[in-house]
Amino acid sequence: MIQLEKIEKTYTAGTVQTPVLKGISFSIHAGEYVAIMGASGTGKSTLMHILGCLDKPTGGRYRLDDIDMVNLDDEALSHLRNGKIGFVFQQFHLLDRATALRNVMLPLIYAKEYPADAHQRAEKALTAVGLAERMSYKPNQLSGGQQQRVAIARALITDPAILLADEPTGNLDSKSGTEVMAIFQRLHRDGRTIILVTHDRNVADHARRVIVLKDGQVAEDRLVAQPRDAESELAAVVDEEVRP
Amino acid sequence: MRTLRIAQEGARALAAHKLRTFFMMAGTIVGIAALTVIMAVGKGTEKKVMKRVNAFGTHAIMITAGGGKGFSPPQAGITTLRLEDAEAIRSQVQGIDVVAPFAVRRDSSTKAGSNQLQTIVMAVGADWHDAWEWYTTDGEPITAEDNSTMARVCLLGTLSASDLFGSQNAIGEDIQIGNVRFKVKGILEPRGTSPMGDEFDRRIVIPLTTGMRRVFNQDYITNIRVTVKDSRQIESIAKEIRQLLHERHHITPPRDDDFAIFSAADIAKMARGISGTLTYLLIALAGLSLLVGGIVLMNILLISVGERTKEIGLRRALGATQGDVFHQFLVESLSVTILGMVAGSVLGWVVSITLARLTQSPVVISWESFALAIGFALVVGVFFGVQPARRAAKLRPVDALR
Repeated sequence: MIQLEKIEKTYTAGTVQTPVLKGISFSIHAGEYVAIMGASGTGKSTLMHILGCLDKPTGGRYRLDDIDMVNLDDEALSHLRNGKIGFVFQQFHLLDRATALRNVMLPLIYAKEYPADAHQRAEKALTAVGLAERMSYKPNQLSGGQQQRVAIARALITDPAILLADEPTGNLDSKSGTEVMAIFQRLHRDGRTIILVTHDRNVADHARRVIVLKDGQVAEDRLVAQPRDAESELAAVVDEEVRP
Repeated sequence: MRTLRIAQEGARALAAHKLRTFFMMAGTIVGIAALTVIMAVGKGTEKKVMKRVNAFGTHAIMITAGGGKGFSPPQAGITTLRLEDAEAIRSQVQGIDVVAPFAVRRDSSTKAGSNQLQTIVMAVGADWHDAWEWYTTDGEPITAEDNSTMARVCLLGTLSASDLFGSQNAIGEDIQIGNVRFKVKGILEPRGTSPMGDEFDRRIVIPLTTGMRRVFNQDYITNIRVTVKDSRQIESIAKEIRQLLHERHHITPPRDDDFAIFSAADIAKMARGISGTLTYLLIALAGLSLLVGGIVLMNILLISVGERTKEIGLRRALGATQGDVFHQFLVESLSVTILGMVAGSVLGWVVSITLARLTQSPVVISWESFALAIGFALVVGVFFGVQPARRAAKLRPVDALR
């Protein structure tokens, strides 16, 4: 599904050239749940931008669903993002003045074909993340965890090829974070391809495969023998809360 | 459809920020309202001017005995204008249709039975009717024969007829002008108000010879009315007549004229008065407020692009193209100016109508001014919306999301 071949990214400021990604290659297959890890400054964000077709590499090849994105122009990349990628951001990035439902429907506005059942789809997506009762709430009426779940529903509304999450738990308390991880694991079980970008080992260990970046290169690419199970962690937290 | 959905996004953004939207709109509202009022007043003035000019006669030149710059009535006791002058004009000036000399006496005492009327009496030749294009509705006009026989017949305006005879039929009845008895021969067509503000319809018309010899007892006339064949030549013909009268009256500067000439063009100039200058001033004001409004609009939009960087980045990440973002912001700016235009037009109409009531002057609300307002709204919206929209579209999604 995703093939990266010697991806390079060099930022040029005047005459100073700063290489950030120095030849990154890996493949991700459909249905995989991959965490990309690395400390800040390792090129993690840059790689995420390239994976999300928000930015182009300065070298190498990136094929997404057999489409070579390197040769696409800005407009084609926009359509590609709309159709193939569902974003979840650390800052949620919801529209303040729109209801949860309208936020979830936002990507459909930019779709080539607006589905006739857009409303129902958005309602279904919100129900799937446990917000059936909160559809007409605005972001400031929702908790951080709920806002992030709205963002996840928004990412899934177009049924994208990959779900790309950038530090999705970074702005959440541990319980809300674990809830988000539980949703991701459930989506993975349902066959969704997920790429999770994080600096946090505890978060990364929920995935099935971890790619560690170091100094703009892949330092480690391993399968997780025993992924952490968010559902049971959540149950444990709830237990603690219930205990007197 | 996609285009429409994106336009809706723009409209939603405006609806979500009502105060900001209002500020963006303010300049357009004021500018368009001012424009609407100016157009309404300007059209009203033009209507008034046309009415005056039509009442005077679009092809007419009036020569009045006595000098003076104002369009004043003939002064009593000025003996300088004579029938020979009219004859000279008729024979020496080209492009003339009718030359009609006449004598006017203001405040003539007239009566019929016990009804009295102080009014203007005009003693006219037969071609006076043609010169004024003013004929009788009932009875007969003044004829050449009336003049050659010094007949004691008269015509009444509709108002003088009702003043003297009430609702009774005046034709065939006698009236007295001064000490002379006249028979009413006809009723003149209603003609409204003269350029000087008095009622045409309260006049009494008698034959020129009868007037000069029997009523006024004078050998001079007070006016000559000349009509030209081509109204475009009116000013040059007026000039020619002035020169001819200078020669005949032996007038050389610095001596003042002993006559005054007014043409339809002069009447129009007078009726417009200062409204012309005022109109230009107001148009400049309206243009300025549209310009300032546009600049304010652009600045608020530019600030809004800065504030909404994250929103723009998000939209780009979710699949909006540069064109989509450009489109949304242009829709926002155009919606602002179009809504402002509608509000401004309504405000302008209200002000115009109020103004018309207060000043009793005609105000014409026209579709042209609405069309002009739409044009201005679109131009301002696009002109001042493009720059912010381009800036929004050019944001790189990666930078915008940071």
